[in-house]
Amino acid sequence: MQLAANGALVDKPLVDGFTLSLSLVYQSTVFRASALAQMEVLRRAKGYRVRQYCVPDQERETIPAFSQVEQQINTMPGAYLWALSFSAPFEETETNASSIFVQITDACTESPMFSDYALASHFEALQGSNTNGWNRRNPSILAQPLLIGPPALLDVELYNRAAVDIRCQLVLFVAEPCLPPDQVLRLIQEGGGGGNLPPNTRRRYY
Amino acid sequence: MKTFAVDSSHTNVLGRPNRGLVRDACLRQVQRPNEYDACLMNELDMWEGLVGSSGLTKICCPMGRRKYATRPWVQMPAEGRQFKPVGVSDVIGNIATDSNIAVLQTIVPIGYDGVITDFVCEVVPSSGGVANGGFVEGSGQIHWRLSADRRYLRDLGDIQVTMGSLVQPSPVPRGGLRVYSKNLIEFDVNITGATAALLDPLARIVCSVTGWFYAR
Repeated sequence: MQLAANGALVDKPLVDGFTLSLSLVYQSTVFRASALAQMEVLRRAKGYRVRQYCVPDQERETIPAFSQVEQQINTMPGAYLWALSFSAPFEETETNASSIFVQITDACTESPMFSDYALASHFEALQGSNTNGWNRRNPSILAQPLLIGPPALLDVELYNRAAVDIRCQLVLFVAEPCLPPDQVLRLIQEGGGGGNLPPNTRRRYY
Repeated sequence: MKTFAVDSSHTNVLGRPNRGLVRDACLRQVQRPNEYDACLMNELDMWEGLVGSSGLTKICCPMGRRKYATRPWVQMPAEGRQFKPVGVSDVIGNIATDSNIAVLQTIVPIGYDGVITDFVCEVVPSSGGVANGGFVEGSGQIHWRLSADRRYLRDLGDIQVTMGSLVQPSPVPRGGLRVYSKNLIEFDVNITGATAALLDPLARIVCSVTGWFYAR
């Protein structure tokens, strides 16, 4: 933080991987800039790190025809899901992204992320082509990061409606606390930064 | 640029950032949390409080409607509506082969969600015909596919055996299947062309689903 001319404390400009990306024009009128603004607190917090979870994992790398893959992801309480990316080898993405349905459910509250099963093509990375040889893999950033409360379990389901097995992967981008909530609270309070925390925040999470 | 109203306690955190090392469970050194971490912890705490006091339904439930005592997809609420549509195909001899033919179609009413608890897929032989219409269980002669809005339902996308009967339906494996408002529930059948001749041409295929709808 730095002191402005009027004496107010002002945040320093945020410089991170998003703003340093040379392939993106950072315009305030585009969705990406607004979505990143929603993530500003998260981007400025120091106690979080990025984790990426893949579904299906290496053991079950294809989704059988007419069938599904269900996988549970175990993250940390207080983690935020901030982006999704669906990818597959080029030809498979081209033809089959509209054959995969996705649902992500918070196992604790049983509240699904989507009102109904969503097509994976919504989270498809920007298409390249076989001729130019590149495929950009920009994740689809959520309009607002999704908080994952205790016990921090996400049920991810991928359904394949095609008549062939599909080799693909959904990647969940999660900002995960480096430390358990208890320890973070203790450190904040030790540092004198717990002044605006409500009293019940001090209870144990485990 | 955004201005945050922070008290002096926050600047104290910033003023002494390196007081002692902080290590995570894997003994990696991590940065000390700052006021933004405190803000996020606040949010987690509010979410916890919300979930602990009956969750979002307490806030979002339409005025005047009583909250369900139990999860409506686990136990049918008093105001739930049962359904059991039955679909009977044309005689097998008239069914196109090697393509999915809908035997049963039903739509979840608008404003209602539902759960499918039992289902039936069977072959009814013609009078005097061979048992099971000549269908050999698991042979791949007939595939049944249950879907909602083009998405095959869990474990029921490729059934190759007859399951249950209209008198005694078969329970859905691993608990009920949830369906949502305006979903088109379809029970398709796919007869393999190469083996169609082995089936009784006058037999019919019967499909049914059982469950209940509840106001969402």
